[in-house]
This record gives sequence, C-alpha cells and structure tokens, in this order.
Amino acid sequence: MIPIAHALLIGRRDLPIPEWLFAWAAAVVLVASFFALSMLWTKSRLEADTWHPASERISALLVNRVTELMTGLIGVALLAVVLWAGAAGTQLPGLNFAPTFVFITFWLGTVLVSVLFGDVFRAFNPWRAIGRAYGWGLHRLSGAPWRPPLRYPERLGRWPAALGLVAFAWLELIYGASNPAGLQPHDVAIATAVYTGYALAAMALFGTEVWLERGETFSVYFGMFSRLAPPEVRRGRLGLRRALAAATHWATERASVWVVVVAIGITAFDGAQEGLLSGAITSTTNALGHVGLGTTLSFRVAETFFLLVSVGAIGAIFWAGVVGMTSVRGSPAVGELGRLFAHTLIPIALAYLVAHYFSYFVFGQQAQFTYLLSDPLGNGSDYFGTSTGSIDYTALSAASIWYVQVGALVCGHVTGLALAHDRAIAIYGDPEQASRSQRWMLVVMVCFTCLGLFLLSQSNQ
Amino acid sequence: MQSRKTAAVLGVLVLIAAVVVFIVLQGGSDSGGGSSNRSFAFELAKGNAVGGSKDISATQGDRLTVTLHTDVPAELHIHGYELAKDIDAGQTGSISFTADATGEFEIEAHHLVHGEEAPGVELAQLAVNP
Repeated sequence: MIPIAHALLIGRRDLPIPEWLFAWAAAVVLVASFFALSMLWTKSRLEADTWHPASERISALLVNRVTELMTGLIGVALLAVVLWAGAAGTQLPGLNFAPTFVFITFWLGTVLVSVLFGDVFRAFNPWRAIGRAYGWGLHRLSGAPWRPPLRYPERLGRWPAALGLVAFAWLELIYGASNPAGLQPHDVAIATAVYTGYALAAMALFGTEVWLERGETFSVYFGMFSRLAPPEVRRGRLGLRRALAAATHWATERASVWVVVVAIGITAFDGAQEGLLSGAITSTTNALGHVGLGTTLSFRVAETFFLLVSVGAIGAIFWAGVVGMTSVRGSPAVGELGRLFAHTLIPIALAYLVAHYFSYFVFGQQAQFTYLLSDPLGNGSDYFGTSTGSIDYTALSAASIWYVQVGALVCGHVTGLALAHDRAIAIYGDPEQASRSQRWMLVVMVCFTCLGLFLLSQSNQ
Repeated sequence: MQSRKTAAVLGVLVLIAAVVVFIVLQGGSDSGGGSSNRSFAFELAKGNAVGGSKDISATQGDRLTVTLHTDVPAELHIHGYELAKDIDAGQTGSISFTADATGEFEIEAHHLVHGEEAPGVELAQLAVNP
C-alpha cells in the first residue's frame, strides 16, 4: 500500500468538525429548510433581466481598450511564469511557484473573485487573449473578418468543460497523490502546455467565443460562479444586476448540469478520500495489486473509480429529485426539468469549495505572496525581498475554520433553496404546485448539505 | 408583500444570530485546562517505521517532544511546523516544540541517502486540538 501523499503544498490539514457542531449544523439546516418553505414568495423575482448600466465614468475607467489589453497581457504573462517555473524551477512542489499558483491561487482564488466581482476571468483569460489576437491577425492579413472553419457540434454542449474539470481534478488529486513526493512542478508545466495547445486548437477550429462559452473548462467553471455576482459587462459597458439573477440563465447549453455536478463531485471526492472512502480506496488498491497491477497503477485505478463514483453519486441525488418532481402536475419532461434546475446547485458547489478549501486557500496564499513570489523557482532568488516569509499556521484558529465551513454549507443550502423556489414558481405558475415540487428539491438540498457536513466530520486517515 | 418579505428576512437573521450565540457558548465551554508536556517516541528499523504510522493527539499549547531512534541515517520532519533534525545511524534524536497551531500534521522520517532526502516514511499523524 502506498500512503496518500497529497500535493504537499501545505503541511497541514483541517481537524474534523466536532460532533456537537455537526449536530447543531444539521439541526439548523432542517429548521432553515422548513422556514424557507413557509416563507414562500408567490412571484418569480430572479428570472427577469435586471441589468442596468453603472455610472458612465466608472465604466469607462474600468472597461476600455487599455485595460482590456493590459489584463490580457497579465494573463498571458502569468501563464508564461507557470510554464517557466514548472520547467526550470525546483521539483519540490511546495517551493515552486507553479503548483501553488495553479491549484490554489488560480483554481480557488478566481472562484472567490468571480463570486464577488463577476466574470473577471474573462478579461484575464490568457487563452482568450491569444485566440482574439489570432483572429485579429488573420483579419488583418486577409482583410476579411476571420471565420472559424468548423461549426461546433451543438449536441456536445458543455461536455468538454465537464470532462476538463474531471481531468483537472484527476491531475491534482490522483496523479499528484500517487507520487510520494507530490505533484511535480514539471508535470504541472507539461499539463499547462498541453491544455494551452488544446484550447488554442479548439478555438482556431470552432471560434474563440463559441469555445469559451462551451468547451474552455476554466471559462465555463469560473463563469458559472460569476453568475451569482451583480457586476456584468455588456457590450463594453459595466453594469449591475440583481445578485443570483444571472444564474437563472446559466444552464442554457446542453450538459450544463454535468458541469455543476462534476464541480460538486470532485470536491466531495477530495473530502471523502481522506476519511469516508479511505478504507474502500485502500482495499480496492490492495485487491488490484493482488491481481497483478503495480502499486501506483492500482492506486490510480482505485482512486479514479471512486472519483467517478463520487461524481455519479452527486448526479444521482440530483436526478432522483428531478424525477420525483415530474410527479407534480404540469411538469416538463425529466431532461428539460433537470436543465431548468441545474443552476440551483451553483451555490452548493460554492459552499463545498469554501468548506473544503478555506483554510488551505488562506495558508496557501501566505506562501504565494511571500517566498513563492520572490523565489518562484525555489533557487534562492529574492525579487521582492519576501523570500524568507513563511506560513503562519496560527493565523486561523480551529474554531474559526469550523464556523466558516458550517456557515458556508448552511448559506449555500438556503441560497440553493431560494433559487429552486423561484424557478418552480416560474415553471408551475400556481404556488401550490410549485411548493409541492419543491419538497423534492428540499430533499436534494438537505442531502447535499448533510453529506457536506458529514464529510467534514469524518476524521482524516 | 413587502412587509412579509422583511419579516421573513428578519426571522432568518434572528435564527442565524441565535445559532451563532449557541455555538459560541457551546464552543466556549469546551476550552480551558492548562497545557502539559507530552512525549512521543518512534523507531525506524531498516528504514521502516516500527509498528506503522500512529495517530497521536495533543492540545493546543502543549509542549511536545518527538523522539526518533533510527538504524539508518534519517531526517525527522514535522510538517506544518517545519521542524527537522538530522539523525545519524544508530542514534536517537528529538525535537521539542510548543504546539501552538491547530490542525493535523504529518510527522515523517526521510531516509537520508548521501545526505539527500528520499521519500518519507510516515511515523504519525499529529492532531493538535484546540
């Protein structure tokens, strides 16, 4: 058996939440749920387009040709730093810029920024910047606007993005953990280069915007969370919309459900592999080892299997609720109903991320902005005079981490219920039928929230 | 309609406030008790941890001493606290520190091959509880 090695980016894990807090939180979830059911509003509030332009001066200051160019260049520069640090720097994962930047600062930090300020990643997206430069260059060369050579097959919808999320999680949680020394910066650089080639090729074939909306994993993922935030740029003009309202129009593409289900599933898997599923993963690994697979391969196969099981379980809970809802008079077909309620899981996905990675993010940022910034290659350089900094693990108390974790799950739960209720009114019209359908979504949300709490309460093994 | 909404929002806020108060009171009653000294001893034989990885725990503020006896050259490493000590073959070495940060930390022995670290052997998972 080989021990789960983690990415070793930070040398600490959260303590499980204590039983009394688990019990309290579960009780709050139930009380809050019944409260939510009793305070039904009778008119849909989030479906309408509430966007209105912000002040002309602020908009012109933040969104203009110069900022557009600058943010794109910053994105491309950061991409280059990741490739450079991963390829040329130390292979100790915790001392190299690339792993922490990709898996903590970029992956978790951009979600935070998106939820607060909207789709900021769109401006910084290096692949979008390169894709646009490519289109612009071809336009200049040929004199005619560039047209992509292929039409995107609409039936694929957002499947490429959902699969991209699985691949990203696999790289971090399975491939990285199967190496006792952690995920090698070299591998991070290779994966980044491969993904860059893939994204640029897809944009060259199907068109930049088409691919960003459906296939570019990170645009779709961060874009999903940005739908919760009020700010939105529309035709070059900054404006504000009601919080949560844009989420109601997120799942217009096929397979959007699977993007959010995968997002929840991979976080759940990461929590479960150290507690709930660790025994099952170990015994599966050993069983595969007896069949004759090598230890590393056995471990990867076992982990991959349970990653897919986790995603499948999250999908099953959601679809069970959707199928239950079809028993209500006036319901659309199952597939359509699933699409109509997919966005109600976005707050749950956010809550899972906060619950599992809040402390990891805070401690990781202390490394990112001290020694990893001044010494990105881990070779002793000191660009900004912060290379001797270190992570202060006393910065967060155990209790504050627990409250943030539990608070995130409860808030995500309530927000998910609110979105589901609002959508139900829009579909069923009649408040009575709407509330009948919502008993099913309530069960779904309670399942997700209690599962999240349960994962947090399981001790690490 | 508007007043009903306001009442509902108020209700939720009161509920949340009540819960926070309960949690804080509950959490507060758990703390207390003075810090103490604890020692944990591990042994490395032929480069393997004798008895496998152990689960050990301490309370925040405790003074801990981690001792390793090894028959191969090794580095004793406490992750998170980032404390390390090189120990020669056949020798016993120890690290003493105050457990001021909560969380779960790995205690590892890195077999030293020509002075370079090889992948570590997990000696224990140290849980520092508040």
